[in-house]
Amino acid sequence: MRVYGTSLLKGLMYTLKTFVGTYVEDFKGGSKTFEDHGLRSATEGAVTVQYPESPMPIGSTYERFRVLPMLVYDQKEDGEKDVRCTSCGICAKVCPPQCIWIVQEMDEKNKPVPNPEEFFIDTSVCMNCGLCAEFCPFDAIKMDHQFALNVTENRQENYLYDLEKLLVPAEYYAELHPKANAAEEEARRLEAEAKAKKMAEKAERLAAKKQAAAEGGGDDAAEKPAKKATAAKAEDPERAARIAAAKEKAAAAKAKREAEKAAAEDVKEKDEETP
Amino acid sequence: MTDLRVIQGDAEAAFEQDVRRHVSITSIDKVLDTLNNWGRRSSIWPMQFGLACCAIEMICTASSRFDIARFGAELFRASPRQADLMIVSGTVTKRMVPMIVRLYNQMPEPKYVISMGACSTGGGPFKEGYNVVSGIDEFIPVDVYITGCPPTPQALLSGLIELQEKIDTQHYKDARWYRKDTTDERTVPLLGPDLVDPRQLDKIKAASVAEESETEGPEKPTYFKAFEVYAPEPEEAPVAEGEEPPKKKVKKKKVDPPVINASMQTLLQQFPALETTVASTLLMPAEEVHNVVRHLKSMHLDYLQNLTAVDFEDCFEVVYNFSASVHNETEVPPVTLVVRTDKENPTVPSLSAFWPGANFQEREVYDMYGIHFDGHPHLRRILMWEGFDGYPLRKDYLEPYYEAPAKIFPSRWRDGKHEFAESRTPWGSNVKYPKHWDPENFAYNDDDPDFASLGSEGTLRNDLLEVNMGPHHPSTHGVFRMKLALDGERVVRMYPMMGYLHRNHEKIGERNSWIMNFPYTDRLDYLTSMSNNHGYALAVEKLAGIPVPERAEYLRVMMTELNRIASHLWAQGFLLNDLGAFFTPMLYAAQERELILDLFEMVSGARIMCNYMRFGGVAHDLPDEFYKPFRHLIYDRLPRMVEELDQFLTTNEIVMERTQGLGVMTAEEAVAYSCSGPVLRASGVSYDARRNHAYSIYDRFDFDVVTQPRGDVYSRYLVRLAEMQQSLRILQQVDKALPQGEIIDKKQWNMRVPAGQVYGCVESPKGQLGYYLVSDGQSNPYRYHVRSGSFINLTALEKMCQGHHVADIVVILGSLDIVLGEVDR
Repeated sequence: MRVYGTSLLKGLMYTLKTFVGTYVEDFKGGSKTFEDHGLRSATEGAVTVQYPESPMPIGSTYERFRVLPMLVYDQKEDGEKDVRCTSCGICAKVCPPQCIWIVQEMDEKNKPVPNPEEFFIDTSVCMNCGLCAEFCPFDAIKMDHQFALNVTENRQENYLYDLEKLLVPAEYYAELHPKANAAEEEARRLEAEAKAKKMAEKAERLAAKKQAAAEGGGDDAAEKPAKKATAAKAEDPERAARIAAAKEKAAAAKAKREAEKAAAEDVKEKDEETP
Repeated sequence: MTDLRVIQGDAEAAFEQDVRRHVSITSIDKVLDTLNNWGRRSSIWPMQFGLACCAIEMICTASSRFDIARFGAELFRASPRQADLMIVSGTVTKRMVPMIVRLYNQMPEPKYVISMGACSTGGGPFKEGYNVVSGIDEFIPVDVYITGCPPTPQALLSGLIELQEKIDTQHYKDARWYRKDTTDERTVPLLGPDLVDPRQLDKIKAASVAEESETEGPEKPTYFKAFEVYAPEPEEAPVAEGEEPPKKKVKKKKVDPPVINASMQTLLQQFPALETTVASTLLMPAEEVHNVVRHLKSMHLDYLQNLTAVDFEDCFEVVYNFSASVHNETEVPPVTLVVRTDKENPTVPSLSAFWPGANFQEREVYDMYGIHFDGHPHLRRILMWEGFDGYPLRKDYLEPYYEAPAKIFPSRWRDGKHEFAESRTPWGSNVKYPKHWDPENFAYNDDDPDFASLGSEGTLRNDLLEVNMGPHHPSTHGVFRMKLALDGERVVRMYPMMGYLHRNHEKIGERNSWIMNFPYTDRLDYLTSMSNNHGYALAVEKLAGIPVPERAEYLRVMMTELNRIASHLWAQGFLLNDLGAFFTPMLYAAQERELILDLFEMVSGARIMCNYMRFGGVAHDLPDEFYKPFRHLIYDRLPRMVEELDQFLTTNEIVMERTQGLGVMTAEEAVAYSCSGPVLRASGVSYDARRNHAYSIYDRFDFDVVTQPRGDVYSRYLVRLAEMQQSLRILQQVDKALPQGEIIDKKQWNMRVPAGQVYGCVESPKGQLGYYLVSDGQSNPYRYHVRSGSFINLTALEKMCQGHHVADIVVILGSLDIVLGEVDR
């Protein structure tokens, strides 16, 4: 014979158990909010997010969390913003819904300068996919964590982000993405070092050549560049970093030129395809 | 928005604000306002109304972890009459917008609207699609916009707080709803050859008359490649001794010989009329189609995986992918058959007599390409509405926002002055009308003329009751609509209608570059973005011959299996919902699902739109913090959870009584209807792409393909339950064998794929998810078709529903576990 209603009781017991269990957990480990434990699944039972008082933790564990893109700038000594973006356009070209618009800066001779004059992201089209940040070769476009992006009116204007709205200082980025930033800085440092080394070697070679040419004539002339390079390296890291940054910018310009060329070819090809 | 930060950061400021709000009362008006607004803001009842991906996040907001009840807004009402808040969550399509406006009109005052997500705010990523409305505020007033794709539950909560603050500023004296002279009735848009805004009727009329001398600006023509797949094949080589012939073929590149597998060989021998194309397909003459197709069954190629069409310069090509339902790929290799038809009057024979599973797919091809299927029982549009102007997937069809034949759009870079797409059409929105279209002499008729006679065929009965369920209905799992012909409460006939979430995935996909499609695939079946990514990556890798590093393969399997568990948890929870166990089991399932989403967020950066895989690997490696919670989940928590589900539900008498013997599909029927996934396996067919097509590294893992013999709703429930256990088994093996190493072959943002066609499929939690791709060697797919399990499983819905009660239809639909993003694409 089947007794009806047992499942019902079983279910109710289960609910009761969970209900009590949550309090037991609280009792055992102190009242738990999401902030208390970095890992969101460390406890049993249900933990409710007390938004906005204590939102879900992001920290370094969830630093890949992405909402909208942002543009990173470094603060120069003179207080000016050194925008990392070189307006190479890769982000605009990889953007799936094509919501990025870039105007490249031009100098007086109408030659492109590696700097964006204008930069728009239509955030009401953006799909938060993060491809722009993933493929940016200059660590210039990154994903923000700010998700409370409500507006109550003028959504067209409010959701069209321009350069002003997109720019964030490098420190902000470093705070949001500590791990990624550390890795990138390390990569940049290594690159700069390798470059400095290369330069030094080049200088040495040049000097050696000169020396060979002069045949014992210019002894100190040969030593000077090499010394200078090593001295620069040995000096305070800040200066080295600055040098590295300058070099990076130069490399960026070069890469950008190449990218430009590639893109121009791309466009040309596209043009050829269409009758 | 600023206020949130006040609350978070500055206690003093918050206190001050509180005092200002609640204490310093100076007049009776203020007392009344305070009381009135406090009452309203603390009991906002949202309407149970979801459109697309954002709706999933909205449901998460309402379930255990985020608990919208903390704001007094937990009462999601199914009827507009009982709701004050409409959360427009997801892509608003032209087909759906009349319903939304109607629902809005029927909500009593005061009513508020939150536009959740980029799509409903401004069109979102699908803005350029031909069936997408660029922002719901074109038609109804919006109080709070939340952008994000999708906004996380916390973002929705912040929007709700914003709305509460807005409510706080109301004065009852000048509130619109206390005045007699004003109403907030919005005009309901109409469906004509495109969406018609009645407010623009005069303008449309004027345009239709005035357009005589118009020479619209030089529209960029769409590309139209002569993708010649026809193969004169091996003869070319021997011809070499001749004099002139080789010269004629100067332009022809060296073509690799087509790959001919055993099945193709057999067919070629059997039917001399068949030809092989360079893309390794078999070309059938139209008159041979039925013979060939009938012969396939005797070769064990009894499963129609996919049916679609391609628009070439010189012809339309209809493509059939067949495989075996019992044998695996090495025993009976699958074949791709094509049939070509001219462009003027495209007609091909219908397969639906042999394979009822072809029914919807043929209708889709008819809808998108205008190809007629001879002998189809019910050839009507399926995703667009009857009366829509044009066949959207034809290459010469240009959307209103059409900008360039392929991405990357040149206007974006170097001189990318921003311009809203709305400014590109004279109507300021995403519509276009055929030349000389006269709205006055147009009768909209989306109603199926056959439906009036549904069920009465061959009988004298005419007292059948017609009932519409959906597209706004709490139990249709999205914007799905069923027309029912009822005999009392018993269903006599059932006619599924879809397309309310048709957001032009394929058209957009054909303009996207290869990599751009990844985030779009996330939004197909928005519960299983990892599987979607995987299928697409596999198909392209197959075509382009990209190797995948070992570790990446493991990571892919790990993610898709986690995703399978998450999706099945959701499905089980909602099945119980549909059975009437309103939200209790669902909340437990959602709670566990959140933990899996946490892992996804940790790895990929997003909860549901992971965009994690790339060609030749995955985007990110696992962070160090991943392993601990992951192992906790797969060894401890999830096995217990599945066990619990089993313990509480499987033998529950209500579940058993209501689901056993309901919606039965026999094995033969299930195969004929091209069902896939748990639906097919619950009918006793052991067909699982992970085994039968042995993709990725699934051959290394020890797991069972779960089947159940009875084919009813209960079996589907059991299959899903057991599949979760099998997924856990796989995950445990993955954890033990996960190698170190590279995670991606070569990271590239723009690439070309060699010309050819490919069908790649994975076993997604919903069924077989396939991608049929044609490349013409460019950086965009020439044809991008998604074979979605949900869509094709729906073909069998009518069959399952016949004779059951209305309440059971809901359960049967729940057991199919459809997701409208994948159904309508």
